[in-house]
Amino acid sequence: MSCESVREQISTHVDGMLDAAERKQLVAHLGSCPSCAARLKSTKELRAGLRQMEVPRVPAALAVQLQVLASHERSRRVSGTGFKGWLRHCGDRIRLSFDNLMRPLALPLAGGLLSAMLLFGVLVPTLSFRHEKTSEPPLSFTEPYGLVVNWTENLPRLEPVDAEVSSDDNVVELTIDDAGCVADYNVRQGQLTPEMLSIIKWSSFTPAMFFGRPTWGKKLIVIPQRRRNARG
Amino acid sequence: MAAVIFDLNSEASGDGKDELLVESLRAGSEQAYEELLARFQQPVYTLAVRLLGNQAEAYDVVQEVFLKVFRNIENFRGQSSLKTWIYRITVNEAHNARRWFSRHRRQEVELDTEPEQSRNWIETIPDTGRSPFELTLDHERVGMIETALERINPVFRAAVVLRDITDLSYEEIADVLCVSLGTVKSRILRGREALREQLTGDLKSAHPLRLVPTTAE
Repeated sequence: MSCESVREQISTHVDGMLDAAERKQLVAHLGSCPSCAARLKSTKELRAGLRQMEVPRVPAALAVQLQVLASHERSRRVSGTGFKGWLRHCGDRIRLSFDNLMRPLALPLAGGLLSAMLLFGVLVPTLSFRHEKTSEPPLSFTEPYGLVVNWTENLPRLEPVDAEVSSDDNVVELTIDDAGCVADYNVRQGQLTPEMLSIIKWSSFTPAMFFGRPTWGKKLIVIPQRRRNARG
Repeated sequence: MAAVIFDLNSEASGDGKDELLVESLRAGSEQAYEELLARFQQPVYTLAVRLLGNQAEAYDVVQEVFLKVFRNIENFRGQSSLKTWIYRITVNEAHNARRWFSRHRRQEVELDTEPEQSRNWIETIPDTGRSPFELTLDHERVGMIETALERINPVFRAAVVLRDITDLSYEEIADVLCVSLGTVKSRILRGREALREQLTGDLKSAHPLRLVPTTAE
């Protein structure tokens, strides 16, 4: 038996994997060959050295991560077993998501709502709103108008500036200021009658409005030729 | 079902215990998951550290291993034992990680190890007149073996680690590595020879520091 083949068997022999006949041959050779015996000894020592190597302990962080991993994988597996398990899993997930969503929000949300209500309650009585007396909407421009009492056919009447008038009427164009008083007049046709003068002197009109504010405007007073007493 | 596992303790045979554990894992029992981690996280971590020679890489590999175990427990057919199945996954994952790291680590520059300060096995042998192997065992014996183990071919290292550190039988190693018994014997022999050469600094070898023997198949 050559030293070369013995050396190949030594490793197997150390592990106890040689059959009886091979072992017998090997032992016989080792007794007569000191170099192979030394080889056996060093192989055993090497093996002992390997077994004595320090066992690297699992780091605590890794152990925790493995537990988390196991937990995730378990829940994945549970979610896959049967409809009931799946339902329960979904329920758990929804409840967890809702909790995770609400917990950080619940306190700020309730606090914010309460403080908003408190501020509103404190501030509302101190607020004053300007109320418009008139119910008319603030049109961009309204003409001045007046009220004529005792209306009959021949009384003076108010017309818009661009109104069509018959040629035999007396027509005066009035300029009405923002206080409703006549600021100026101009006889368009016919003549200035005493009634017109009376109207010009004494009447007061609702002034023209421009975006809700009184402003100057124009109006026509028309009096038919056959006239009676009139008041504006 | 989960409660049964813990009643068994060590009275039941390993296989029966494995079957129950696998069944409970498939059923999603919390205790089964804890049991699996308690039984295997330490051996798997030790194996990964020894195969990779790096605790940080082993950290990631162990997580990958257990992820695969949990996800693929459905595919475990019981043809091999649970232990060898998990170790096979560990060896494969370590192999993948080593390939990945070797591809990416080439571009890295190590800052903290200077050539003068790094522990060189040949410099720690003070007297070459005495048997270097005995001397090596005397001085920092275990540390030297660790360093030597990191330097040998990964294929042989896996066989030696599974035999001498994880303490598997030849049949189990054959099962883990998916090779024949003869190949296991050969790989262990060559692994030990390579280790011995690393430790004694066999300068007759063409590349004593980077011994890369071919794989025995």
